Amino acid sequence: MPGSKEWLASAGARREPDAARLYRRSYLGLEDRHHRTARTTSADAAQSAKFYEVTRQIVAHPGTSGRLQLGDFLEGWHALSAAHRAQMNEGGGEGGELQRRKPRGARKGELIEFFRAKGIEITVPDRCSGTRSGRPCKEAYLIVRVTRRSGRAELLERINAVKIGDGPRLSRKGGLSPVFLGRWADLTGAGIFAVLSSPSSCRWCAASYSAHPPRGPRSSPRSPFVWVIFWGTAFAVSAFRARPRVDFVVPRFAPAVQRSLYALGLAALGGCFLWALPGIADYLRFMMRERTPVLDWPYGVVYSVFSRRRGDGGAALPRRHRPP
Amino acid sequence: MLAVFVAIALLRGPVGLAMIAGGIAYLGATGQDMGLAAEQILKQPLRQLRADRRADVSSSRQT
Repeated sequence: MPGSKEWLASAGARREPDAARLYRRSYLGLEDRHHRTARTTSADAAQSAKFYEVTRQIVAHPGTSGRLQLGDFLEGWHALSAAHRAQMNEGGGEGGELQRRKPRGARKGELIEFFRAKGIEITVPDRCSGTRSGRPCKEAYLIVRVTRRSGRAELLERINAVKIGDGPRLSRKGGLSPVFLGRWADLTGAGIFAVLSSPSSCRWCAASYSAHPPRGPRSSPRSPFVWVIFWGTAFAVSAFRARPRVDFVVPRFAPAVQRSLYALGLAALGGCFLWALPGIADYLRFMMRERTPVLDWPYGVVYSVFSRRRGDGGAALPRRHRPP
Repeated sequence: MLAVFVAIALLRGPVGLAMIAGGIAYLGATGQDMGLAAEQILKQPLRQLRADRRADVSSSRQT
């Protein structure tokens, strides 16, 4: 947000010595190669500012050198508190010193390191396929179109900096950080996959392919298989990038509206699954009476990953209502 | 069912989960047991696993 350390850290993007004048209502923004010698348009800076306020992510342009810059406005300076102004002056001084001492590439690297130390990862994106280079874009977290003031072309901007939490296990609110939980979920998935390759699976293979299989239905290592499938889709697969989705309506709206619509869709999805949760738990409870032929585990335990995926946790299963 | 699926899909929900949500909505609207959704979804990977295994066995026997 304006006045934060991350915000102030990009002070070295411009060469004006007067930081207070430079950072009047400054926001993290971008500088196109063609705009380097010109003034940044207010629309670009405002767009970048809005992005940062909404998403807490830094916007960088795929066709530029990735250089961060600030757009300056007059009216917002007086809206800042005295402490923020002092912060901006201090950050501007540091940025100006950084600007004088380092060549541009080094400045950029130093800025990126600074942001990374603050828990914000910055990656320099490739150019999009619509540009002259013709190289395809990588997966983007969000794509927004910003019309240039000239109106000749549209500029694709990509958010390529993601708040990653800087690796601490505990977040500021005291809970486990998403990064730690994500790693834990990945490791759990890897463990399940290891179980799938365990001796019990070899036993299943031997029983399945031998000339004298055991009596009863041939059972696969269902528990690890089902758990690999559902645990992976629930926790290890990126919900934003790796799942196919209809993506031609929501991107037409502003980023804030996009987020609202996306949240609305996820809320509807969660509502449907919550609606089905009692029935799912009932089914799992019912399946506790049956056991897998090879590992002799209750099917309710095997299938409990489905309720975990739905957020139930598998802890509170209601009494069985079905007739036997 | 279709309305739920289309609404969630247009709101950028994952298509697969939107289909499941549509099925759940159908079960709920028709008053059927919600456990059918879990049953069908959970058994589908196992059916696929069995089909793959049968294919492996038949191919090994042919060779």
